[in-house]
Amino acid sequence: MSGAGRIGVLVSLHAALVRARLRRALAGVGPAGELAGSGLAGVSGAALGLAGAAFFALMVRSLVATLAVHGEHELCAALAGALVPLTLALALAVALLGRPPGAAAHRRAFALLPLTRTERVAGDLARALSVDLPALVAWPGALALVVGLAAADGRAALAVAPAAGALVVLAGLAALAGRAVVGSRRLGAWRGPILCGLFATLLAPLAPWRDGPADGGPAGLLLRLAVRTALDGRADAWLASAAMTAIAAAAVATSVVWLPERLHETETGRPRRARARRAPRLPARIMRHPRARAQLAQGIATAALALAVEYALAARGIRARWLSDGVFVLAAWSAATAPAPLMANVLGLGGRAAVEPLRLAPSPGRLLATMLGALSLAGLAALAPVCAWAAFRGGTAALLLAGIAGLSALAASAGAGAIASALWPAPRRLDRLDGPVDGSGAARVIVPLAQAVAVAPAFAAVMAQGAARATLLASAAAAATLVGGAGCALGRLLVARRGARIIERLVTGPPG
Amino acid sequence: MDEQVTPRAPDPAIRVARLARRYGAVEALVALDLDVPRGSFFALVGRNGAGKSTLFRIIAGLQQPDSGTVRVLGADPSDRAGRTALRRRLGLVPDFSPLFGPLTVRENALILGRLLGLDRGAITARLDELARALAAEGTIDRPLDELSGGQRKLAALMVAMVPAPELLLLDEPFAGLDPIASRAVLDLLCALRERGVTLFVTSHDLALVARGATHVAVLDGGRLVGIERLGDAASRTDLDERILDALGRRTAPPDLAWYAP
Repeated sequence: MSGAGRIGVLVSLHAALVRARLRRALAGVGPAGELAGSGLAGVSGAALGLAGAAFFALMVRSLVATLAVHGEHELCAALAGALVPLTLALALAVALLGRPPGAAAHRRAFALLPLTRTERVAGDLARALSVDLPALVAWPGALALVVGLAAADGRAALAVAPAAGALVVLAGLAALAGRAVVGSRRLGAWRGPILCGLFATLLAPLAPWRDGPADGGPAGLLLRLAVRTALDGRADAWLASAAMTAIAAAAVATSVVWLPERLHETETGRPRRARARRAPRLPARIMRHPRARAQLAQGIATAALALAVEYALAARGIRARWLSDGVFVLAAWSAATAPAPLMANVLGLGGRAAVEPLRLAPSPGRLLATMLGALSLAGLAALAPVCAWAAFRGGTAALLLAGIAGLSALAASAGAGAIASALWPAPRRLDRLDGPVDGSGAARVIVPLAQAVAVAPAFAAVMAQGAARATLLASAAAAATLVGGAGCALGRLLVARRGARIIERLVTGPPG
Repeated sequence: MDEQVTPRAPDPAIRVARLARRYGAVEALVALDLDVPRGSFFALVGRNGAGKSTLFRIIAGLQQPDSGTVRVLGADPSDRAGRTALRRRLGLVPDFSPLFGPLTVRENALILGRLLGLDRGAITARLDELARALAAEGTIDRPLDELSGGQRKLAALMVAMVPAPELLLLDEPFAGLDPIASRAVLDLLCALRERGVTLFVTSHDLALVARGATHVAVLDGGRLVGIERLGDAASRTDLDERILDALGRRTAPPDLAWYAP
């Protein structure tokens, strides 16, 4: 059989795997299918996910509309470009396909196929494409939205949109290729930070672009100039350069650490466990989880991005108190909530005992208590960025407030973790916690919900300093955030297995 | 049981020389020498933790030895360049599921068979025949994930046999099978051996080994403590006793005086 024919067989293998996953969903098996135990379950799960995505799109639209009042189109494009693809991709991937089943078993089976190295990489790429198909479909749609929003009033940031689009596509493809060669989930988890870094790089040197010789030039030239400017640290781009360098160093370090392990897995179908046996210290055990690291890196990168945006806009002479405050709050919020899932995981263990009675409560009461608990804890978490902003602008008293905010965020994280842990069986190992970070199903709902809700009042508080119309729009954005976050969380809750059981009991009553 | 009754064959299917592998302080394999003649049904037995699975994985190319050499059908299974060609010549059933769980048995066989150049019709016909032989017709159009452990084992065997490899490496092929399925598998393996296929099998089922194997080797503490060629019925009688002798016999029956429910 020719090489092309063999690669065709591999592509058909992955097509068969995707078909099998859809078949399971339609047959009422798997996360989406368990919702109602019928063929409609997959469709309803997808519809819920899409509804969540629509809510998020509405939130972004409202936010952009708010900012557009002030004519900050670059910021609009940046926010839309950062938020829309991520939310759409996540919602679609979760809703349509659920978790890829048996990734480790798949790797083992794949390792045993009689394939050359080239075929193995090609097959792995086909798998990555099949797993990420919804995300890939989401990219062009999201880009269209970015461009459309930016061009809404005819004063589009035309220099930003094409270059941002090119970067998103390039970064997505690079992440996919790297994921195929190096290590699927682990590198995939770095996609967010890498994208944030790229956006930071792109946005920081906006000023030299618009006033320099490349103004109005082709996107390729603009992109090249942006990267060069960011990397050589000139033209007010030092902040983005630093962020980019740190992120790139972390990504490279990750690749260096994981590459040998991934190659070992590819060759043998078995993970190398030598390092795991050494029983590392507690912080290392917590941070060892790739999603935990990615969460932290994403938070830091988002904070860096927000600051870079503000810096870039300031360099262009766009100065507004509410804008810089808003950006700072976004950065503080990102940095504050980044470690929250980690803390929730750790402290959730201790909190489990305190909320153990929740497990014994009747299902409707437990559901209600969980939702109310999450909302109230989210309110606590919302204090953090506001107080951080106060600390930024104020003196000792504000610093004290910031300390209280930090403790509030910590308590909120702990409580969220406790509630999530109470919903889920006890973890077998501390670094394999079934908590908000890496737990499956309902447990993962809590922290995203808390985060989604927390940002809304913070933005509203800051934006309230502006014009009355801005306040109104900010309130709309806050409401959209709240509804979108709750919608997405509810969608995720419904497609989660535990959530499906809770709903089932609500409908049919307790067993027995 | 003799330590080495099989002379070094000029062209064995598998040749292991001075093979060593250690996990930390534990020596899994110690300077092991072993030849598996072509066309033989070679059974490897031993206690739990004797090193059988380690030896199996090294022979299958799933694990690297610390030292020593392995040749499988004349090729080095740890050599990346030659591994692909080697894998096309052998069938492998390891101690984990080697198939894609979401796919049916037939889809798995089609993927492997088509990669090896077989056409769809031939693959389907072969799989149907194997399924009839193992009384597993009802499983081949169901996803692996929906099958029981024993059914998955049969599925892995069938898929491994479809390309008609000249060497079959089977790790515990009888584990988890009911008596009827075990016997069907044994009969199938014996039929393959009569057609010249080489079988390298690890097993704890001494009765089945005694019934079907042509050679049996006993591994203990990473060392070969006995190897025997099985010929006529007399050589198969009391094989289990001889193996237990080679392993240093059984422990004394416990007193259990304290056990009084």
